[in-house]
Amino acid sequence: MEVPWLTLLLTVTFAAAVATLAVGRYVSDERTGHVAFALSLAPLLLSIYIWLMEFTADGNALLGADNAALQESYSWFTFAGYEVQYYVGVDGISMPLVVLTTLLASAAIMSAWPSITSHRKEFYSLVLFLEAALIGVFVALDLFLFFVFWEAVLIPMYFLIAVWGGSDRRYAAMKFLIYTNPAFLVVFVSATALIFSADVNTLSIVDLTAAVHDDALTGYFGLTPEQLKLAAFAGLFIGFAVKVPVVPFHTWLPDAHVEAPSPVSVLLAGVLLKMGTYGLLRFNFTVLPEAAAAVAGLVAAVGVVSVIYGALLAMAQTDLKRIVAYSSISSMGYVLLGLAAYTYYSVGGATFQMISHGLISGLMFMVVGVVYHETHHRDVRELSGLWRQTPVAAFIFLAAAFAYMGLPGMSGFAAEAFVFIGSAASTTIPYAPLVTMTAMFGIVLVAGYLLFALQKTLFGELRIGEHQTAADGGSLDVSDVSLAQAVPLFALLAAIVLLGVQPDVVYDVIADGTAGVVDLVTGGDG
Amino acid sequence: MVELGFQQADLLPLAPEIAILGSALLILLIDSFSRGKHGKAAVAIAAASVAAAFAASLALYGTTAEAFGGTFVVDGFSLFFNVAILLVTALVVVSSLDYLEEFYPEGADELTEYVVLLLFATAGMMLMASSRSLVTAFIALELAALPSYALVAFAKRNRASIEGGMKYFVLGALSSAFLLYGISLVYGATGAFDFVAIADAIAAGDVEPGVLSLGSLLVLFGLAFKVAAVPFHVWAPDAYTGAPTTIAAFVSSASKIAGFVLLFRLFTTAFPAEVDWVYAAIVLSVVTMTYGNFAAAVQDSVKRMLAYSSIAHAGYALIAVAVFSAEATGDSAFALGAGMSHLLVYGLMNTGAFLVVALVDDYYGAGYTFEDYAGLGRKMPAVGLAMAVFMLSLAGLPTGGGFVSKLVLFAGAVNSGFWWLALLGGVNSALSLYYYTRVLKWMWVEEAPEDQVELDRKPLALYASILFAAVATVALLFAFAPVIETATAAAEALLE
Repeated sequence: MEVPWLTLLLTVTFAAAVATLAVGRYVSDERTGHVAFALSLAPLLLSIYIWLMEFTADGNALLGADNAALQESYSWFTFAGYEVQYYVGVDGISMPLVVLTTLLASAAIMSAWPSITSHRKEFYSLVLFLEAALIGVFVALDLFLFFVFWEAVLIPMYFLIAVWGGSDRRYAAMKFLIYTNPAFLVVFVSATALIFSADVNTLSIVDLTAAVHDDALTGYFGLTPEQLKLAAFAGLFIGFAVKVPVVPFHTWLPDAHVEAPSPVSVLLAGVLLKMGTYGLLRFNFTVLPEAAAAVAGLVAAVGVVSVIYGALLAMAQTDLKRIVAYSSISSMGYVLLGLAAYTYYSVGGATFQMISHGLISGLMFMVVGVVYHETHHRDVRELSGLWRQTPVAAFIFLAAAFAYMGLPGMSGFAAEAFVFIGSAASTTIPYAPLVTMTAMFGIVLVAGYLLFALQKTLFGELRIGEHQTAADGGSLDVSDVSLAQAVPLFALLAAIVLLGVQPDVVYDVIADGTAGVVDLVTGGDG
Repeated sequence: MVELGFQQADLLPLAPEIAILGSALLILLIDSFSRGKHGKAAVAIAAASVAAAFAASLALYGTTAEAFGGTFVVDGFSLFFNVAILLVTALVVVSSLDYLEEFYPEGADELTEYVVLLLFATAGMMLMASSRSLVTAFIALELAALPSYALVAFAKRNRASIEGGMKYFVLGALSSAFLLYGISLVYGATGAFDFVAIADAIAAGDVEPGVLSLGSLLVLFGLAFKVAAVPFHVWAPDAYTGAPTTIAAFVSSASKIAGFVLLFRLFTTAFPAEVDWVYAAIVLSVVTMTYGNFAAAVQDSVKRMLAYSSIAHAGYALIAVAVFSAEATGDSAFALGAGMSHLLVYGLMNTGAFLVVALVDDYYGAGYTFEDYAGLGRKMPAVGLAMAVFMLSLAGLPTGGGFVSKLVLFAGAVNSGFWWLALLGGVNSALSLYYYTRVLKWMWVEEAPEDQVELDRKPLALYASILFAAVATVALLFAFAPVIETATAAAEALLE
């Protein structure tokens, strides 16, 4: 019998969320986190099993009805002659993202043990709901199903920020909603306009892609098919750009990050931002390659501006979380550049960067969470000399920062190298080498502000806050990473190093998924 | 002249309406001939008749019949709305059992009258759904409206209730005047009351266009009062806030749905799109959703916020006819079907939300402001969860059918070429998140104050209604197929 693996994965994750809520009533508060972690292992192990044992796709899911692996489809409802389906499947792009999601969710849950002390069962349950919705976003192949999961992500995220966040959490949670929901509706209107003018009878993204590529578009109320493609591209781009976020749509992100509890920031930076780039890759760059190629220069410019401006903003910050948040904007700019360049290495590299940045930013937020939990400070001016007291945390911080800077041997290096190699050879971006070099300057800026933060916080005299200055050689009441906290930190670090040393483990799968996208524009010689 | 003979065959298609009216009369009879009051028996009879009417509506589904010389028509369209109206009535009738005793103890004796008024109003609304003549439509509308005025003012020692009832009555009478004047002009221009005959007369070209346009606009404005579209909404916030909350739920859900049925049927059947009503509908839709949202955002009272939110939802539902075009009936049918689905889902979630207010504000007496809801989510997790379902679904997030129905409605607008209207609806919908999540913020994020009222009593019927509405709202997210497919089929049949 065929096992519906993806439905099973979604169900198991969802069941874990419900089970956490149910079991949470009967176990002590401290145990709730352990239960939730144990339950979160089920989707993690299942997703790894699916990847290793069941996953067989070697094409792009949208570029052929049989390309996605583990497809399932059931009719949901019909409107206006279009069949809406529960239609799921994975390819080389979505499979790694699914595993990234399950991995970071388990890591986030484990890292939340010491810091989340109120309403524990609700917290862990919402994290698992969030995980289920995120998996759904990556496996959905029906437009409407994709939208359901996309919007479902907002609900747990809102509560996670609003209930367990910092002092300004209500404002940040609201801002997160009010920014990202209209963005979704712009995406919705653009995508439906495309659907209604395409010769399709389902809302399957695969069918839509085929119809658009075959020029089976009728135009839309005064717009020719060509104009419609451009208009849809613009609408989709703006909508997804808010989620990424791309400058100038980024102002919700620092607020959300700073106010969110650290375990939630892990998922926010690690996975939620990838929803935006995933949407761009799937819709803008796969469904609408002509429009994308036509405006590639502009998209690349937006990407480079995000890289540089995000980095400059990060340099101006003193709050560790804000530094990492702004540098995420910078890192996502590389993804944009890579996508716009339309070469095998650049698109593959951009997708690889999604995974790599997910791991690195997740690690970064976890270690910042540890520092904050121990010291109750996140301002780099308030901290110094942590190396003396908390060598393990300091080591992880150092390693994560170097991964961010793109130290060879870590995944960040591989990802950025792929993007730069690819985009320098781009035929879609005018002055590609020059644009690439400008983007590379972002790395210098990253190194600048991260080294500054490292030097301030880790080295020098041990000092935490204004009034806790210890005499030379004295020690403060700060403990290092506990064993339970060290496990997720080292697990993520190991993954980062693995992808840095052997990027092919993931890159080969990604390249299978992204090659077809590049061929759409270059016709096979990307 | 149309033969207005009375035949038994006319009665069968109207079985749902007859069930409701019959039980209302039965309750009145029992009340007249017995010594004591039998409020609970009345509720039981009412519930049974609603169930019977519901079953009859489902059983009749698929038949198309005319009755009383074509002045009534039973088709998929009317039966769909029967179901929507009866769902709301059922929730309101059942929850009234606990509610009235607590909120208005003096009125508990009058539970029979209350139930009878509810049933008459329900029958009027169902007849509105079936009317295909301006005359029967007007009578049905008054049958729905008059009991509603009395119900809003039912708590007759409560000043707000009286004030709300008064405003509702005066402006309702004014709207009836608009409607009647419009009807007389339409009749003067076309010489017909029957919707189809009006359309035929217009198609024959032998009409005075100015008189017809003015008449149809006045009719539109009269109905805009009923559905509380801006700027004809001024009665609504006070009536909804002053009314007993169960009645606020009833009027803001069922009565609004009934107004829309008549509006949908009349304008899509009788008046071709050359008449300028479509532009008026577009303006009404835009103004209504925008004003409703902004006004809802600044309220201090949860009940009043819901009143304005129901105005905003009238704006969304108006999209269904604002995009109407006589040339592309296929696209119009889709938009109309989407609007019908949205109204059905709206009926459930809006009623559910008002019932939560009935529980918190009136039954427990916790207070009417957002602040008074602090921490209630944790104290009553089931109700808190239900409220989260209602609020997020109303806002268009996927906790319930409201997500699908709103998106399908916007998709209908896009399909008809009105992408900008969909976008405007989207922006409004996003803004509405602000006030909907505000309730949830107080219920779940804030901690309860020390001196909060005791929540130890468990009103079974009210709880059951709330939970039923919540479960049905969630279920419609997954089982949306029957709703949208029946609605679209009914709309297609109507526009043929």
